[in-house]
Amino acid sequence: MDDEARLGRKGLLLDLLGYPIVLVACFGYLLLRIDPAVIYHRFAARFYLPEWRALSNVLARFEFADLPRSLYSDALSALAARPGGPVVWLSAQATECYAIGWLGSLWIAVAAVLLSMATGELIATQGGRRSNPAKFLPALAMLLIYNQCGNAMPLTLSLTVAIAAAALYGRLGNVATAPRACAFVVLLGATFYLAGAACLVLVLVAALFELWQTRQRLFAVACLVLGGAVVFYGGLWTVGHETNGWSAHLLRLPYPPLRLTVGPVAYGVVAFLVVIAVAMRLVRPRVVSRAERRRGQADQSWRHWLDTSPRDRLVILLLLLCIATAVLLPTFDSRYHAIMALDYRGTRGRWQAVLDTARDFPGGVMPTPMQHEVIRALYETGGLGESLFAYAIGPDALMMLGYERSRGDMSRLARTYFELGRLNESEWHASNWFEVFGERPVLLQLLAEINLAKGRNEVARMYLRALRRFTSHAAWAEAALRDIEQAAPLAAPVRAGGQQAVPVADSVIDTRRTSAYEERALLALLDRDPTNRRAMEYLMTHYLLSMQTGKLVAQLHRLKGLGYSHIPRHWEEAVLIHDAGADTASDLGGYTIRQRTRRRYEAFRAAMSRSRAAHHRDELAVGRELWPEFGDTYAYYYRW
Amino acid sequence: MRRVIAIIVLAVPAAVAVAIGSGVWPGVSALDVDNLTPVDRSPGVRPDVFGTVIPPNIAPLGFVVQEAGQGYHVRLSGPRGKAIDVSSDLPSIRFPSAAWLALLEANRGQTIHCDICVRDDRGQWTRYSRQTITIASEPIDRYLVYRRIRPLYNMWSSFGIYQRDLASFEETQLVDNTSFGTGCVNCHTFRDNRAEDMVVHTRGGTGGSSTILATGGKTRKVDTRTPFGSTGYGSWHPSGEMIVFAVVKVRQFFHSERREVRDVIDMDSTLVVYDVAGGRVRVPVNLSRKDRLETFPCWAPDGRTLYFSSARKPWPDDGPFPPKNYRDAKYDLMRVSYDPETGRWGTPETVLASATVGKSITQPRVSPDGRRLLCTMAEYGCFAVFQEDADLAMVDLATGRYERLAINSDQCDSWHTWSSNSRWIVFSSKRGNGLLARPYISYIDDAGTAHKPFVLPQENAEFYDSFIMTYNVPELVRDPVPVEPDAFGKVARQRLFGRRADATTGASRAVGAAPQPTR
Repeated sequence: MDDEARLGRKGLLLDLLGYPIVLVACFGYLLLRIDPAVIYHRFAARFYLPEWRALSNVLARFEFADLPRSLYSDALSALAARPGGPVVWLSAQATECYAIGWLGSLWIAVAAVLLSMATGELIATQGGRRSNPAKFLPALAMLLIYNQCGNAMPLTLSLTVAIAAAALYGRLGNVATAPRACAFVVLLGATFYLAGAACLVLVLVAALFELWQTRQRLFAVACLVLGGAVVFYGGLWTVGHETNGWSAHLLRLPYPPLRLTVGPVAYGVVAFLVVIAVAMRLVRPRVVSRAERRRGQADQSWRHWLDTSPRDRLVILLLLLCIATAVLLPTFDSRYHAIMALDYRGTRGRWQAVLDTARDFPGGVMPTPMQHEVIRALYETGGLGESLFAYAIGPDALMMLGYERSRGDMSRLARTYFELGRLNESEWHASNWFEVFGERPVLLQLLAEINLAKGRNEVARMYLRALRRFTSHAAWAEAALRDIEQAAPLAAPVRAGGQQAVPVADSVIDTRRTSAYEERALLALLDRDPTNRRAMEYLMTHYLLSMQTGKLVAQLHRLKGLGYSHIPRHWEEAVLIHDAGADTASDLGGYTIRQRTRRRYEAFRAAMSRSRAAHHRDELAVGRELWPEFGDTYAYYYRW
Repeated sequence: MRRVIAIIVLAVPAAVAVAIGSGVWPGVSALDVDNLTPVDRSPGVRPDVFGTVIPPNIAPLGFVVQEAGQGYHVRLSGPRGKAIDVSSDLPSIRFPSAAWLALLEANRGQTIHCDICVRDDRGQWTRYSRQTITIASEPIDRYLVYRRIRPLYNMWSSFGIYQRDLASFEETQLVDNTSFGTGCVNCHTFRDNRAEDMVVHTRGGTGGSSTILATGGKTRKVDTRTPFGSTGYGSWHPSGEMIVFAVVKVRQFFHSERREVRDVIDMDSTLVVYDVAGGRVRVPVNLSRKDRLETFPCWAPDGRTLYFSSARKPWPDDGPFPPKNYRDAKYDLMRVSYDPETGRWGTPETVLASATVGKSITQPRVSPDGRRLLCTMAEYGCFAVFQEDADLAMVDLATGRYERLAINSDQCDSWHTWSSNSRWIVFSSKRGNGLLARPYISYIDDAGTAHKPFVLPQENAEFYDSFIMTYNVPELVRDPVPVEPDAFGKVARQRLFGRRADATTGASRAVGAAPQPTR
């Protein structure tokens, strides 16, 4: 066996090994770092933008390019009837699997490998070696998109189809012009149908092929013109009447809420492929004759660089993995990912995980909806009165009044209203955001629960039947439907979130939702149902955040009926602050302020006095100094 | 050897096809339905299609058998024509369209029977008691135009006006609100069930508030603005020369207590007349009293009487919203005579007073034969669709007697339309679940009695189970609306320039950009 053959076999082995290595590396990275379940949550369960502002239609159209199957409103037949539809359909199926983290990771990893294989094939047809590690670059670019909580599946599949078609066309070098032209037309049609405007990759590669390989410039121009015409007029013909741009429907570009815009990444991948094609042709080596090869006259051109030994290729592969790591780690959008993860865990009721994520929240202040979620998590874990100020919670977090005025998504507050027992207000907000965002599982579930609580079982059934198509919520919906079937019709108890549903103070909802209205509503809930513990804690939190310590003290008489063994810490602090300001001792209805709270409060006051003296009453400096020790106290929040 | 394989490959499917066709194949039509002993019980089905009267030109009424089983067999047969046998492993039953329509056509004026058999897990068949459907002799107007929206509160995104071929399941979109910047589109109105004369209203979006007229083969934006506001509900004069519109100051609010959260009242309203040929808006004094709320105009088919709803305005102009006494607004059914030759209006008179019926009477619609008037009665106000007690009532215009229809449900029934032969009505009913309205079709016999209605059939019998949209303002028309796709959208996108019409003189610009060609 000569050296060349041995090297060839090793190379083949390395080629075969390369794909599993990349598959495993991608799978591990996706599963451990990104978690496709979070991406699924972003697309299927929750919404798109960092602050969940209302979407413009244009954005929605872009977003809908990345939908999982359960969200796709078009029937399969409608998809089959338009260019790019098959890839969209397949992508939607794959994206649906993201709901199960490991399965989604596997899908993405397999898609990345397929893209790499197609790229390798394209490189091979353009004169390079199939084993060239550069073939993994497009897959790396796709991972960048996932790094930003985007979904690159449609783009990956589109490009895979287009590149495979381009590679196939590249194999037709020795075929006569007429059959080649026919083959181009057939491939163009098939690629346009399967992958939409991604067929432009085929068009460009074919044009360059004709330009450099066969030197038929007219043919090359014809390829470009025909390809452009097919994409443009085909797009206009099929989806052109839609005002928000037919191009979005043809080339499925993801639209994550990025600092790193994905558009350039996607176009960069396309450009990379074109560059490969151009580069291969521009520096195409002199053909080495068999006689020369027998004489051992090696090709001295660039191709020699590509014809590296298996050991060198292994080194290059490892180098590429290092580069990938170096690229992927800093481009990971940890803040956005944390937002999504926190929301995902909150939706699943994993309250401790919500608090853990909030505690380590990267990049400054949490968005208002996240702060609201933390308040819910604290209530559910019994820590709302004890450790609220251990988190960066702003005064708007509880009822999101300012957030609503800035047209923020209020679906999270709809859940809170439901849990409080304010059913109609919950329905009002949930329905509004259902209209804006469409059939999202979190909203479908909430609307089903609201209608069950209101005794409208048929409406609940309808929402549940719509909900069960979502992989993430199917089991819950089926169980709820079974529960309804087993109960007598309209026999669902009018209870919401464990609380008796009661009307709020006004029979007409104040849509301006002022702070006073919210306070009145919480008080009305407590008056109707003194055991509504959530209403009590939310009311007290409202007083804490709005620094109305007097009103808080005035409501302490309700504690006994709610079974509190002691006054929660933050409320104790509020009493101490109130008493210090009013120079009185509040009637605590038999409760006392715990000594450790009193000691800590005194320590805070002493530390503040010392610090003020040291910093010449520079309040900012005092605040910075006291933060490490007293940052989690209400006294600190009250001062700063 | 290859020949043998080829013969087998061809012969097996052919034999199966022949077996199915001849009924030899088990479970298709081999079941001897007539010899199965029936149980004395009606099968549970949804939607409820049995006992109804249906037009001979309606698409197949599929249904879901709500009986547990491993297999289902349904035979539909009539005194004439070929019976239809349908077998399925699933409880959702769908009849083939051609055979269905042929059976209906053959049995006009007759009753057809439906035998439902269910196979249990031991392979035993149960035949339930025979169900019936009556085929009326008179057809229904073939197309139904409606708006499809989500259960809106005070935000909206995308919805549209659609046209459904009742003889098939084909639905086409006429107007897509996203085609003009997610504006609102509503109040589609036709002249005498004629699809070629249509008016539709838009609000917001890229084109602003406007009225779009599709008539004479053209689609154009017309200026119907008045100092009171934009026009809403309308009614074409049978001559096509004018349209009476209601101009309403509509406001929405939300209840924190009752089951239906939403409510709407018109703080003020009046009627105006739009002259189609002259492009002018006029405000007849008799139709625009300051102390009253006039709305829901409806022309009698002779064009000599205009019916409308009118209520005393119980709140001041500058009071708080919602007014404390919003329940005091109860509308009377009124009419006013009109002389087409001279253009003179008579004095309004009360046809049916709200005090008499104890309800607010709105949405009057006169039957095309002029004999009856169908209206909605609700506890108060003008927006019956958000009131659970809203019912349909028929007024005999010859005697003045009224009667609530026996087909009303315990949920809201409203937004009704007549077929051009006065034999069918379609109305929006929330009887299915209390939240979303579906179009129901009912036969009106010569005595004016409404027969048990059926829901607009869909290809998939389970369609309504998870379809979270409401059907709003169904309107029957005889032919498809002759408008190209996006014709309304193109016109709606155009800005309407010019001054607001002067309501005193009635002067208004004839408007808009160039008319859009229609089909």
